[in-house]
Amino acid sequence: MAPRKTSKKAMKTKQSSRKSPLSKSRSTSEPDWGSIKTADEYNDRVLEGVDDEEVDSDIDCFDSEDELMYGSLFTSRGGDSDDDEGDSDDSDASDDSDDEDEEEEEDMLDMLAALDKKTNSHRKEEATSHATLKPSEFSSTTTTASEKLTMDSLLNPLASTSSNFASIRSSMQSLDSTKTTHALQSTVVTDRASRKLAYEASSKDVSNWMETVKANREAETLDFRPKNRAKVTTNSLVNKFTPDNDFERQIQEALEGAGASDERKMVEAEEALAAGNVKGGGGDDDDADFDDDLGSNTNLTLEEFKKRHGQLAKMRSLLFYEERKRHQINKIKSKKYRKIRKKQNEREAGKEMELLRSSDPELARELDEQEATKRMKERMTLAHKNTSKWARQQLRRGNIDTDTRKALSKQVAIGDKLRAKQMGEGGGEDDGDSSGEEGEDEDERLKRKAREVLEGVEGDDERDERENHKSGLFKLAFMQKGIETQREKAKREAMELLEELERGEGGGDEGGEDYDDEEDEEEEEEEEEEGEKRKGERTTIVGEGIEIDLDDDDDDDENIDKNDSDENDDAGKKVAGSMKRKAAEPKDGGFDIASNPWMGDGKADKKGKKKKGKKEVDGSIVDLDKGISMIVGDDSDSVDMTAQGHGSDSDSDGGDEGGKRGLEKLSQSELVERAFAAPADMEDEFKKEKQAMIEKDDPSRKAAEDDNVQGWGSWTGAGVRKPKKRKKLSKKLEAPKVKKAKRADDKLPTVIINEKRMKKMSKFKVASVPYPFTSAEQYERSMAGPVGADWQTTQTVINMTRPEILKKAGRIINPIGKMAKKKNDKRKARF
Amino acid sequence: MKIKALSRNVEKHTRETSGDIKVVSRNLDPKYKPMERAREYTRAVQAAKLQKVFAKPFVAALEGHMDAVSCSAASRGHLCPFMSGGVDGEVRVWDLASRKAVWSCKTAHSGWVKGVCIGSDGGSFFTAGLDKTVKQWKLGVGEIGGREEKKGKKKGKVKGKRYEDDDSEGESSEEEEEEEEEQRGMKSTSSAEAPSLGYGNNSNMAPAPTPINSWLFDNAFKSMDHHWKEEFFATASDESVEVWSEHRSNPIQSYKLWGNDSCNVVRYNPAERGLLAHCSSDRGIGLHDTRGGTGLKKTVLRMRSNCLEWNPMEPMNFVVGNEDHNCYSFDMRKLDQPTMIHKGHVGAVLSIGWSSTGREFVSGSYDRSIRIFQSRAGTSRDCYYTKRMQRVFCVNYTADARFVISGSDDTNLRIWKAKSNDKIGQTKIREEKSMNYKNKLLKKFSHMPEIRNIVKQNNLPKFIKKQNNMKMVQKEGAKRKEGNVIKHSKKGSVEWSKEREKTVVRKMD
Repeated sequence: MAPRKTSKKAMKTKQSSRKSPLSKSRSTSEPDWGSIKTADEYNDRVLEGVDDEEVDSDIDCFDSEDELMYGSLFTSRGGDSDDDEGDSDDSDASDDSDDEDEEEEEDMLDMLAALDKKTNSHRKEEATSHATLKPSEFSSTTTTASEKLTMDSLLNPLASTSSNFASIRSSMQSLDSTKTTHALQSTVVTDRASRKLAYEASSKDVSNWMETVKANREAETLDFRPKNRAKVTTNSLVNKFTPDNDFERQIQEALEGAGASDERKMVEAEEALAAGNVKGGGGDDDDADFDDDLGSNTNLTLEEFKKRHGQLAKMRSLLFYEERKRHQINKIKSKKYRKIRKKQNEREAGKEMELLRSSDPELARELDEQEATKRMKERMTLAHKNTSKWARQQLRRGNIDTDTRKALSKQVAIGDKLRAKQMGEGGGEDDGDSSGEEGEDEDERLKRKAREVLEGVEGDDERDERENHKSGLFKLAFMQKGIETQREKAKREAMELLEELERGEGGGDEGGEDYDDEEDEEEEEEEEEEGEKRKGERTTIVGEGIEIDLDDDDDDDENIDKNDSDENDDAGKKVAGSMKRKAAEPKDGGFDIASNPWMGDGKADKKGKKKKGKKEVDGSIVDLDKGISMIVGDDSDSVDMTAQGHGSDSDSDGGDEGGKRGLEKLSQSELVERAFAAPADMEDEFKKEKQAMIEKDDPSRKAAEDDNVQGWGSWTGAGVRKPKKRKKLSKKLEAPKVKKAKRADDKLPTVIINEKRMKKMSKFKVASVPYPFTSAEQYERSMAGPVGADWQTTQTVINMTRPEILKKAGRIINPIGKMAKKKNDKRKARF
Repeated sequence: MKIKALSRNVEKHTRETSGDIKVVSRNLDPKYKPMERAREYTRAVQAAKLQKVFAKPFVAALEGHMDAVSCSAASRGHLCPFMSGGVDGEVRVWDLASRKAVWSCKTAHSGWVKGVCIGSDGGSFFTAGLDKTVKQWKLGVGEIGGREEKKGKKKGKVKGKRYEDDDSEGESSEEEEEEEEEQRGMKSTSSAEAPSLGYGNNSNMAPAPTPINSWLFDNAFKSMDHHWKEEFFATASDESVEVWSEHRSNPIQSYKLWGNDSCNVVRYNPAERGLLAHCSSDRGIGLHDTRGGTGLKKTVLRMRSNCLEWNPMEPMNFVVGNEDHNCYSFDMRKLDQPTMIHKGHVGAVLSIGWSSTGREFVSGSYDRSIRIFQSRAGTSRDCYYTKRMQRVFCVNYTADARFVISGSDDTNLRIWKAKSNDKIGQTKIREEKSMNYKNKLLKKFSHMPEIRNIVKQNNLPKFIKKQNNMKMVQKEGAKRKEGNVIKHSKKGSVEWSKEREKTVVRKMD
């Protein structure tokens, strides 16, 4: 407290020299004690609302210390005038009012105090001058220059008055050491300094709002709606309800009459009823609410009750037993058990049916009909499963004629299709079912399938042969060869599979093995025979094919000519041979189908392909490769006709080499490249187009044209002298050459970029990135995504379209509140 | 075979009463509603056009003054009372709900009424005039003319007392009143009826109203403002800025700093309540702190500032309206240059009023128009004018930030909507949603050329347009000249000057 006190004193002394406008005006009305009182009051005002406690304490200490000395002054002030009352009121008011500003003000006060401290030493002389006249630091009197002032002379009188001034004296002693005093600085300078400090302080103070202000600025929405609005609940509605019309009043009365309005009554009534219920029939019978399983509301004797209870218990236990049983049965997974069970069920059903027939023939007939229709439906649906009796018989017989096989394979095909569909929809649950139905082992099934393949292959051959006779193109040797190799491969695999399976079974099933062996031998024999047969056929066919081919070809192909000169038969044989070789080493010829980018679908229209094929006979290698791939990847009955080109080509290359090269050496990328290679003239066309575009858009072109207009500005007609040649302007006067404009596609030889401004598009283009955004991406992101209810959920739309300021009509918005001002704590703003 | 059929829960889709909301199932998959951006763009264009179609900002004119309206003030705690002072010394109190003058005093001052403001308790208001007096008047309008009419309409609800009540009370009644106001706005009843005036002017026989208090001073007052919470008010006079207590006959503080300025405006800060700012005739803007009793800083602009208002939501910021047709936003901590220059007027800006949201302000100008600026935008959002409106001397926002009131040389006060296409009256929820969506779209696509052009398009009176063109020419000329100077001087010695840096001439501590 000590330093504060000294500073205060200094301030007070300061007032005498520094004339505030306030004190000036006051002094006119109260000349007697104005100098003292205004100074005091000014101090209070300076501190007004700043630090009330501080001020109060200051006043107190002043009183205690100096009342003795200035008591008379204070008493005289007490009942002086109206103005004085106003003064005191004011100071009181100010004390009361600015409670809130205490803290902020403290800083400023400190600063002001510090300022005064600075100037303290300068005013020391003046301060001391008062003391000489009277032991008071408040009275302003002048001192004569002749008297030499010393600290002792000032302090000595104090010593006699009271011991309370000991502290002041001690502090004064420290000042005694400073010897020189400086002249007073002008008020202009000091005031400016104080203003500067005050400005800094209030700037700093006002910055405390910044956090809230910034948050408000950045907020997407400012909500000025009232915060604590009462929510309407059912309870509040019920409590506030007052009947308005007669109807409501009647209901209200009725309810009150029944005591329903009184909640306590209700509760009591309920309790009473509950008690009656516990007694077991003692209560009123009318109340249906308390009816339960045991029928407590009926009047039962004890015996009856016990009996009924026993029955119910038995029923319950039986139900439970049944449930457990069912549960157990459901858990059994054995197929044998199921089979037995099924048989049993069937038998039982049969018996029941018999009974029914005798007892109720009509119902039985109905049931029979139902059964029949069900069966029909099943047959309809099961037609594709090859599990019908007929199908099984045919399969068991083994030696199947082509028609039957066709029908069977059709059924299988349909089945496969359906299964695929089911797999696509409902997962693979059907597989297990079918296997379960057939009751076959996995091995058996595989074996059967392999056998089917073997049989099928033979059958297919026969059928194909028939078809080949029909279509001329199948007569070609290489075609035949291709088909042959594929078929053989499939057969071999099937054989291997069968062998493997049988080996796996071992000697356990000798009969089966025997049968299989026999069959195998037979098959092999058959194959050999057929192969020979086919060979013979093929040679002839090949000869024919080439002939036709060459006939079609009018082109002057050297190799073909040479081929022509050769013996047809020889050539055919040669091809056949090569193809045979190929078949012997299938890995060479049969490249991976899956990796082939032009894997044909094999269902192309034959006629269309035929024409295409003819055209492409002399075409590029690409087409040939395609043809090959088609053959390899195809089923027997549909082969791309472009393949014939390959035949001729491989021939012309002098054997199989070219074809092989096409298959083996070309990488995937090369193949793709070839496929999409544009013809050479297209490139030229593109270049021309680009050049035309460049010239059209070039601004320098126009300038050049304008310059070279012939005869411009000269006379024409007979006898007119030839116009003078235009003077060439000096370089300085020449118009600046229009530079050739840079184009975006200058360095992109394969691209044309149209740089013309599109008028229609300009409507939707922004010239530059708009202000708050810093990059085009940012702006784009802000534009992305629709806002409307057509694309967004309701809540999202509400969130996205919330207005910037939410306010309620007629609601007054007050200025930002004190709570929003934060020093350092991060409380939430309230407004 | 499984068949998946469309099924609908009947219970879910059956309404119990006709008032129930219909359950609507929507598929939000964008593939069913393609081209979303194109569609929304079209909607935005439509919204922009509709905005212009519905832009009808003028609500009503308050007639009654016999001379130009020189100053006005809206009540801070209530929506309805509105005070205005005329050049002839007349003071009127208006009820905005009924749009009638409910009180008036023809001889409130002898000479211009230069300042009017509401007291901190809302029960009285103050006027200051060139006749060197400040007068305090009672704001009790309940028992007179206009209010009585209302009573009849509103089931005998007594509202007269309300203005003397504390701020916190009577919120619901305010809302009701606002609704009433809206209804009237919808009906657009003419406000040309003869105002039923207060007890002062009902008849010639009645005595003129007497002020509660009056203060006499040595100098003429140019402006006054009341503290927002306490019983102090500040006046600007020819020589100084004075702070008065309501209970003292002499000013309690007087700021006569930086030489003898003739002050023309003084304003209390609404939030940081000890702060005071004034504009003086020597082109200066000065800040004071009444708590420390010191001045803080003064900055001098190129031309005189006619008006000053503190931002109610950002205590450090204020805007001044300048004689050079511009408004300048200042941060009191950085007085060396404005934070924003608001351009658009072609005459001196005479008055400014902040929206209570702190987001925008309105300015009235000598060019017979008022403009609404967003707090951080250089150009105005909207410009209002009518054929008959003359120089605008005062503008105010209502406390709910919905309406703007301007007082002008043609003796009229005018009520405008703060947002020109705002719907007055109750909006349905769907309507509101639709408006929100439209506004959002407008904001989203605001940079597209087509929409920008529609929004920006604003028909202006010939005078303003001509002036604008002239200003443009002048501006271009000045720019060209500066460019030439730069071109013909040593490289780097002269640089383009920045507009904001040119604004402030000097600062003084």
